[in-house]
Amino acid sequence: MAHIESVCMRLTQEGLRHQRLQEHRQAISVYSQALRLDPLNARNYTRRGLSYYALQYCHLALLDYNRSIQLDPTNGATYMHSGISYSNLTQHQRAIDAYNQAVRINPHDASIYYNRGNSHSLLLMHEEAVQDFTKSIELEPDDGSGYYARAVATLHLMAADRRGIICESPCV
Amino acid sequence: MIENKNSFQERARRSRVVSDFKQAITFLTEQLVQSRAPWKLRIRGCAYRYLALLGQPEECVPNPQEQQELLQEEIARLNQSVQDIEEALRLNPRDLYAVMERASVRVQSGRIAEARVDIARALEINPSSMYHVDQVDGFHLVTDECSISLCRI
Repeated sequence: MAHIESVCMRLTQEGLRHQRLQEHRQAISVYSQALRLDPLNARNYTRRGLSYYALQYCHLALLDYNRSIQLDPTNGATYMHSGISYSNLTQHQRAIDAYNQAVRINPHDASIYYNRGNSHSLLLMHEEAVQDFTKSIELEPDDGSGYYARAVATLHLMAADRRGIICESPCV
Repeated sequence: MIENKNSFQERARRSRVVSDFKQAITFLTEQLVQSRAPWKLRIRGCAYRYLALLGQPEECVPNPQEQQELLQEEIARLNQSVQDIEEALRLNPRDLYAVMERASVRVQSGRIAEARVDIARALEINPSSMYHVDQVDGFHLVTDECSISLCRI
């Protein structure tokens, strides 16, 4: 048992090293070996999911994130990565649902609000987007991208109000 | 009364938008000293362009000299926008959004033929990006009368 644990730990370290070097195929292979030995390791599913995502295999990434969430529903980062993958698949409502879970667990993480703001923008929910970007700025006031995103979302809100209709989807 | 309330809200929002773009430029400039991330350059370039597009506050009626200064400021912002976008594209020539942004800057500067080259490039990078191409000018965000799309030129 101790032997399996130490092998898994070594494989995890190897996987992390490959990820730092952007060697995602190798990382996936190493994490898969680790998961065969320890299939209940939630974090390794998340880590492998990140490499799938980096290679643009969003569906595979989501399978891993979901498995990770089943094993450990308290990891807010997994929900956020899941949201990013859904967003990449243009499933923005699902992305928002995932970000909502992430916010519940990590309410002080500015990046979750920023990402949720982008999803709200893409669903033309400009007021909600502005609220999210405002929260993101409150939590990280030195991040220029939050101000930029809020300005663009506010312009969309103004355009929608001026026309009395929902304007076209923004180019984020 | 309702109209007044609306125009007050509009002015307040516009003022915040301008302030946000300026804040974005300030912080992105600080971050860009540490690393020249292409996406940060692109966002700063966009912020410069939007600021140029927003121009002066609506309630302000400048004298001819002030008008000239505002025009110079707008041109400087557009030039800065072009510089940022060009650098972003040098670092990442396949950045679809940077190509689109350059097309927008070119439309705003009246360089339609060059903007068309960018559109062609964008479609080459991602043939399914027609949806984004239709959004190129982004002018509809600021003034309805400028709401043109390259597809219709």
